[in-house]
Amino acid sequence: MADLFRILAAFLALYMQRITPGAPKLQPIVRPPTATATRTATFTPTPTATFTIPPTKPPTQPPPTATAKPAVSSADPVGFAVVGVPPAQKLPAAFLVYPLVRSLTTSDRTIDTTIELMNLSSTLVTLQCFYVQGTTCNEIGFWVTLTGQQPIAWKARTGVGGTGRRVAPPFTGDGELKCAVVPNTSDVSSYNTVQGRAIVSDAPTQPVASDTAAQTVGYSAIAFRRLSSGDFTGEIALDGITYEMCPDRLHFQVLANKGDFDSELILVPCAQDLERQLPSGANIQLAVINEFENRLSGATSVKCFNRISFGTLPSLRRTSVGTDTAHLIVYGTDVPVVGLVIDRFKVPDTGAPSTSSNEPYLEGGRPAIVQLP
Amino acid sequence: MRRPALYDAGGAEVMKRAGHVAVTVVLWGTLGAVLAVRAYAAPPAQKLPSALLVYPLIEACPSGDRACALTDEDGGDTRIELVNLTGASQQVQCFYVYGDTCNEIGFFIALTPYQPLSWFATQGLNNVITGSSAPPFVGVGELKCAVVPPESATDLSAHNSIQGRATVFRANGRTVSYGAVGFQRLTPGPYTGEIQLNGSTYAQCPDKLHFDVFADQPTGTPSTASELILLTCSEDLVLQAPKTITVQLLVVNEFEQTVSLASKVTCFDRRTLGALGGPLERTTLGSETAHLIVRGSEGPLLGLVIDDVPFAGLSGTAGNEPSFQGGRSATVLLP
Repeated sequence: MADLFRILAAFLALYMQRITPGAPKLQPIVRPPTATATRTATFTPTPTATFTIPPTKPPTQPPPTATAKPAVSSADPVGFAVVGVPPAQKLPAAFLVYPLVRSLTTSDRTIDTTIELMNLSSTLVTLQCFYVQGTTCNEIGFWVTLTGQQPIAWKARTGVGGTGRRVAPPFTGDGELKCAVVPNTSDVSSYNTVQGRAIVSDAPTQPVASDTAAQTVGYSAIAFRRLSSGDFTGEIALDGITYEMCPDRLHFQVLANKGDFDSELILVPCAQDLERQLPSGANIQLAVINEFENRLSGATSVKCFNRISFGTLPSLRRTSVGTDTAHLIVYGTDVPVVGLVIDRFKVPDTGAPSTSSNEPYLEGGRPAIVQLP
Repeated sequence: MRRPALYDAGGAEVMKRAGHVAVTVVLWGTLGAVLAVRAYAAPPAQKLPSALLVYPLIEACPSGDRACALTDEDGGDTRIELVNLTGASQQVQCFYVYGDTCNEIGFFIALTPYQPLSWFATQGLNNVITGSSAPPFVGVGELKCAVVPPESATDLSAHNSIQGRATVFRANGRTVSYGAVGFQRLTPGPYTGEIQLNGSTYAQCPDKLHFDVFADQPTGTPSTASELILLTCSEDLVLQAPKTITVQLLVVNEFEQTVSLASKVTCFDRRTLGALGGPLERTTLGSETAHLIVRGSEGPLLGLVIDDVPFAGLSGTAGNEPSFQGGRSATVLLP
């Protein structure tokens, strides 16, 4: 279809040139006409994070960051005008980011994550995946192969899937997971093939009769589509040309912290150099708007992974917000970020604990680079 | 009398130019047709500011209300959330649709710039200052909300402005939250109440829904029963004329073995995965998870899975939103 479109566009352009009065006479065509209607990105970001790896000496430049600063805007809640195009979600994608993977066993709680990957194409797909430890920012890499339409799932703690086969190395602690499609061909359709999801479960290690349900958070991995053909190099340029851009800002609708049950904000920077193990770090600007349209601001930071309880953010306490729900806008000032909120509240009347995921709405786009080893 | 130029000495030139125009029109037409075909099969991109939101599951049953079907005796409720992502005020027209009768209840919501708004379905909402009011809803069904821009503002930014999500919880704490399915407006124009999800006026409905689901374990410890909720993308709320759609389901297990199933949906359907037949039970499926592909034969569908996840001797619930593939046209008619 794309070829037909290009040929038609080229033919039309030639014909228009032919019938335009005063147009220079057409020269004999030696080669078949090349497409004149080349696809051009409507947003032309400048991928400034084009770092090169010096072969001998250790790097001296800072880790890759999206340095293109949007214009300051006093009308905007976070102070910067929205730029760029965000990544479209729920579509077959080439690069997945799972912002929260937890695996922990203590004397009173057992926490584990079921990671799901699904091949939406009918061909074999190979993925290069990396856990990133939240405390050390170190990575653990592995490869996953999916046959046509195959679903696969494994527990982070053991790395073992439902069929009893080990899929990934065991993972302990808190962190994130990134998976990139390594295609068989350089065509875009070979890249955009997968989707992912994770379920973080938390239950008492020794359940008693009053424990009726595990606390479960299920969320979809944030997905980036490949936009142009080319070979896979390990450099995931989220620039709106090679891959979709990172979201400029994240919008959450959250429950204000009431003290008895604390929601959490999980943030991961979009730019990451896993080859040189250089976390990019980001300062985070928060804008909080309550149901009366009153605005508050706040700030925090993230190195490579951060779990922040709402109770530690004064602008998200019920006493500050003034209403039960708030519109939270998260903006990485240096590097765009992706993230997730875990909503926690007590069910009215019964007081039973309730936990659920809260995925952000994405607005705008900024470039970033993820460098895989 | 002067003859028409077509027959005079320059007639040949005129004919030649007319021929050029005809060829040009044909070429542009062909190009347009190609573009139209290219627009076909485009699913709606999610998590972006949208003009139409569909909440596939609203469950609101006061404790002890046995008339409220499909819920347990503990009762449950849904916190519905709507947020304005723009710096301009927005009017939103919403409709609850009952799952059993397919009847609707309509209301209007006003959102100030960047305003978040939430309410419990059983309690509704009333704000005399903004004019927002949501009636109490008791039962199981869906919610649709469409942005109604001011008549003077017909550009896309006036349409694509909201997002929403819902948290469905039971009295015992079992909770499912999900993001509403969002459709973006693609071309400027006034709001008419006829929402053409055709890839030209609004984004299309998804052709196929892909879920990664846990196999049911009805006799396991703990026993688990995930649920599949489906609703038709086309809906005529003006004539209240629900349409029945045949659903084709394809199940692929982790060994790439494939089984097909079928079902039917009239405006809204909710059933456990086990009720779809044996293939989605753990003992039959042969693996812990399955790739479930859902496609409506006579028209596109939207849906949601409620995962019932076994963990450490207990079970927990989580919303499982589908991935989309392809696109098909549908129309939503609002009164």
